[in-house]
Amino acid sequence: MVFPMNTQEKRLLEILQDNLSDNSMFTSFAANEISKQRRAVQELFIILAVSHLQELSRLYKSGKCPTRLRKLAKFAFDYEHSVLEIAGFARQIDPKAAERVMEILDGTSKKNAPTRIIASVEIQIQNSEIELELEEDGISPEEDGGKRVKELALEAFEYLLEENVQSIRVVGL
Amino acid sequence: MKMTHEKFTEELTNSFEDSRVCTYAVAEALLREPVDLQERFLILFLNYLDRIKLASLMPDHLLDLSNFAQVSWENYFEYIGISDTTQISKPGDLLGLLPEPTNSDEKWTNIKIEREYLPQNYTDENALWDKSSVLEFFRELSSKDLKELFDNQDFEFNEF
Repeated sequence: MVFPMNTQEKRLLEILQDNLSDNSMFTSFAANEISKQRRAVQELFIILAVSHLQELSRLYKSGKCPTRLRKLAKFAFDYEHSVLEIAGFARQIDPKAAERVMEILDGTSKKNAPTRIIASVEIQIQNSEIELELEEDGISPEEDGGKRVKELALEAFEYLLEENVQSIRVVGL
Repeated sequence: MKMTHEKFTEELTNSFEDSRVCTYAVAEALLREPVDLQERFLILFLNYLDRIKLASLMPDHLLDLSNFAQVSWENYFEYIGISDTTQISKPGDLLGLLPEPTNSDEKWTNIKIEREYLPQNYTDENALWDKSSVLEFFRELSSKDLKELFDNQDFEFNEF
């Protein structure tokens, strides 16, 4: 599903397209220029890049990642595990997205926009970890029938829900 | 349209400063772009993180961003074999460094509980909404609904 962007967002996408498809553009020079900007601008650049990585990772975790994106999506998934989760970079409603939802809630926006709020908790478990645990307990995967994964999920979700740390994201802006 | 890097950054900055721009919407759109373009965007991000990491002289108000950049390089980029930005200076360099996914790659199981809401179903013109109350509203609502799904063990599993 293609979500509509406003004119200003389309312009930002065009700016990125123009620059990034130009092989004569030195990304290191551009990166240097971004690093000279005021903090708010740098933060938004980080949010944009991290959101892109989180979208790639989400695609990878769905098991439905198109072949053309698999390399970058796996890179994003590993980055999310190694850096973003440790840095507490869970995807939450950003202020501008919240503003648009607010306009729907207070009736200012009458548009029948495809905006949705998705709340979720999720975990990823390496299959080999489970296999090893079962082997140590002398249980075959057939005997287990997926019970161990469910036990681990119950334990993890119980903690996440008690702490109210579900991810809340806005899609289809 | 050909742009210099100064012009590019100027336009990027103007865009970020425009209150009508939600970067999440653009991140979603980027995912539909050609893989080469997405790679170059990531290269730009890696270069930026390299530029601001702690090794450089950083003002106090940017130290947390610097720390984040440092952790990104130490815990991940260097770990996967990117020792410096000269290795990713040309288009295609990053994709070339990343291993081709194979069928023998480690398999994972993703388990999630998810609930979706259409905000138009919760319109209340008499309530006083602000950005934080919007977040609080959906946090409270979803806490209850996710707990119910949890109690019913209504989990979604998929392997990837």
